[in-house]
Amino acid sequence: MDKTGKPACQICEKGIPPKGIQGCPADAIKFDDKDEYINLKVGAVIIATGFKPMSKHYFKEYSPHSPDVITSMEFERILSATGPTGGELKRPSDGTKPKTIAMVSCVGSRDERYHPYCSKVCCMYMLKHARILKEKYPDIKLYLFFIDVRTAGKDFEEFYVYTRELGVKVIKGGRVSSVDVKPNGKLRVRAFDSDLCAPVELDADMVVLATAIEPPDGVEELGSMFTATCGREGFLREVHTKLYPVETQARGVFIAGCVQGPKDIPESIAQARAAASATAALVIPGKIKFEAIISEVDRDKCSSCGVCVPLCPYTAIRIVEYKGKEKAYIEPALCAGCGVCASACPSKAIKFNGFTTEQIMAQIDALTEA
Amino acid sequence: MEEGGVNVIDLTQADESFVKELEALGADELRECIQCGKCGATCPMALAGLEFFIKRIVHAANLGLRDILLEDSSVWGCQSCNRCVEICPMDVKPYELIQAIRRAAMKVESCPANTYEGLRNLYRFGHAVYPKGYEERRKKAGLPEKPPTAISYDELRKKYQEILRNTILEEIAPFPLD
Repeated sequence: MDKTGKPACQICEKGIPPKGIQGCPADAIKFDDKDEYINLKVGAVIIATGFKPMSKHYFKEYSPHSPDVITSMEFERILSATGPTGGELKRPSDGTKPKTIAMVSCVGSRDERYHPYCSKVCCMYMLKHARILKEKYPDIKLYLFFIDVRTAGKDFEEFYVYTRELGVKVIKGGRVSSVDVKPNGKLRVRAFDSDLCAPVELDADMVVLATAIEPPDGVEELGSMFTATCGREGFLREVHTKLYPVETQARGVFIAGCVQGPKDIPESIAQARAAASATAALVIPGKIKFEAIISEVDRDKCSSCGVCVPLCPYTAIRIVEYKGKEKAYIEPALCAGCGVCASACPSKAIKFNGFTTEQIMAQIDALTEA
Repeated sequence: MEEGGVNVIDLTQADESFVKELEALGADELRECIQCGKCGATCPMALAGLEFFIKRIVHAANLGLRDILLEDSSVWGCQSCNRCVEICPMDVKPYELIQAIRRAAMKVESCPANTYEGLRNLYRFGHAVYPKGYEERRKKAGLPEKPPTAISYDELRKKYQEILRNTILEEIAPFPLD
């Protein structure tokens, strides 16, 4: 369902000669452009890889083998005017127009087997899909199965109420337990409706699964390239939820969007702009202030053993030539002052400013002086 | 509702036209219900243990479950206390829905037998509840045979009956309007 399979219209290139319309008159488009790798030296990086929608194939209880059981991402393509059906609502199995559609929320989200977190955007896009469908096809029957409807935020609750007024049926307390394909091609949906206090069944023509937002493939490897760490769920972790929302523990590496956690478009944009400002604040002055509490190597004492290099969590330590010998060097702009290297150095060549042996001994003496 | 076992509700049987019918019969803000449950917490029907108390009724109506609502007698248990209307945060007017369902039920003669009894009494005597054979007891207590209500004023009662005959009662009454 990725591509339409139709040839490009080429109007911007060739125009429409019979109507006297020319292609781009400013000649602003490179039609023979190709992918290329560009090497850049930069002072800061923003990681914004986005997310991956979960595949339906994990959910055997929802008959994923049926072509009429699709994910919301695929459904979005069906609704799209440039999608595989040209915007026409069709069942993938036989091309007929579905009369009853069931949508299922929290597929893979809020589920200890897959992702314990809430994917945050599904409730709203399910309502969006429902509203688009109901406005386009008023006779269609839409059943939305939620655990509970999460419409926090500006204008969202109003959107929800409006969608209900259109006649969209909302079943709460009812994550669907099974979807079975009946011999006549219909899909039997079973759920519990806590508002009716009863189990319910429905014969649907199509089932749309709102599958979870997942961290993208390879984000952990990408993160470790930049010494940015992933949280328990596999999203890149910010330094502090409130105070440093776009910073990672690696200096000069920032994050924005769903790579940090599930979020919607306005939030992603706000975060992206925050990351851009943080980057600008770091790079534009041309100078970097660094903390006084960092480690330093006394290179005359260093025995060049290299123990400290892999220990540094911030990749701040390199081996560089000094007086004709390879010696450890700590990049002060990268050092976060954790002190790991100072405690590990067998030659005691690394001084941890603010926490030197003399300073710590003096503190212990003062504390134990009775 | 089936007897015994689990009562699975088949949403495939749901009928959108029933929702529209109820809207036309007075429950015009029905779809705005977000099932917050505030009405259910104050409804005497819920406190009395009726299976279909107001919150469930609103939801079932919203889904268009015609058969369930018309077969169940819960809507006839409504005490018309109007608390649900007063506290509903979405202005759904749940009591209006109860009335709408009753109207829909009357149309297809799907209401408990005592409803007709009450209706007949209301038409004949001006009271839904009209205990029989009280005349003797009233006499013993030294009261006039008939109470000083609509039953004592034939002329006014006839006028009132004429008004009723001009309503939908004319079409749906399962007894002669004489």
